[in-house]
Amino acid sequence: MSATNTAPDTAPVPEAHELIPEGDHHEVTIWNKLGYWFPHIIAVGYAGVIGAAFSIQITQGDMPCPLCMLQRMAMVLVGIAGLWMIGKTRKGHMNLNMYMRCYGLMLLSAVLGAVIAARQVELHILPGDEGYGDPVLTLHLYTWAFITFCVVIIYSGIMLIFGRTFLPVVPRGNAAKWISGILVGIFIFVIAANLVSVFMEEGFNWVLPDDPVRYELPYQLGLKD
Amino acid sequence: MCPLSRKEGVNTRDHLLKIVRDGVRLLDQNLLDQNRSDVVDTIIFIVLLVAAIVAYKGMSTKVVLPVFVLAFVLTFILFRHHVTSQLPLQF
Repeated sequence: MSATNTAPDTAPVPEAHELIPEGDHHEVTIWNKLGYWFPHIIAVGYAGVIGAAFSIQITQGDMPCPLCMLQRMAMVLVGIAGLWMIGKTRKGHMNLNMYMRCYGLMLLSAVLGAVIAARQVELHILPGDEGYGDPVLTLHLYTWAFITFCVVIIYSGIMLIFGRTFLPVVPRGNAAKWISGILVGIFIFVIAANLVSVFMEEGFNWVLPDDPVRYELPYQLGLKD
Repeated sequence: MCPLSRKEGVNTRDHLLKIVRDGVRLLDQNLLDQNRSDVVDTIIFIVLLVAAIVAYKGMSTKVVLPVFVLAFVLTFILFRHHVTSQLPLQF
């Protein structure tokens, strides 16, 4: 069958760059300011989760297993994607391209974390298995981790849908700058604390033992027998 | 052609792929050896700390992205090791 619509399309074909509006020059709304604080909430939220697990580790001697540590790493990766967004916004280099890149990295990190957490859930899925560690609000920490990663996946998807609406803009005033600095500082401090903790726990072994029961480093250095 | 591999008639891409393959094999062999005096988790947290600092400083994609991807890949390799190893995992 031959084509019946042979009339030429008189409308000019737009160039690719015309289809993608510039993200940096538009009216700033409350959503843009929220778009700046959301990555802070993600980073400091995960700092809180890791900090809580860290406090259980110190106070109750509940040592993190290799999979727990991997989940912490994935949480940190999610937070770092948010940190990059904050850093770029503060420098005035945020645009739609950068925004998508940061949320893409956050999404991928959350997927990795969800896979790791799901693996640990599967290890304890059989009836009668008490799970690893003590439950918090009836669920084990790795189950909570899986839920938080799912929340981040959904959140990142929504933020990518809205795009320019939530393009972050730094709020005016020194207070916002200080609060941002403190929140980011907490997150970086948690990473540094975990670095020290994992080195103490792992010592000079290649990887963590499956079921860690003590800090290896003092024994390896001969400080403890 | 890579200057180092010109004599063997191997192009740059194959040469780099061989280096990557050898590196992954070496890493995998070492991961299975519990007696090696190295620390994977600690190394990953060092990379994560560096990634967090360069990200917060708002450095360019050329700096942040490779560090981030390195941390991501190392985490994935370690996860792969813990999932596929023959170790008696008991929790």
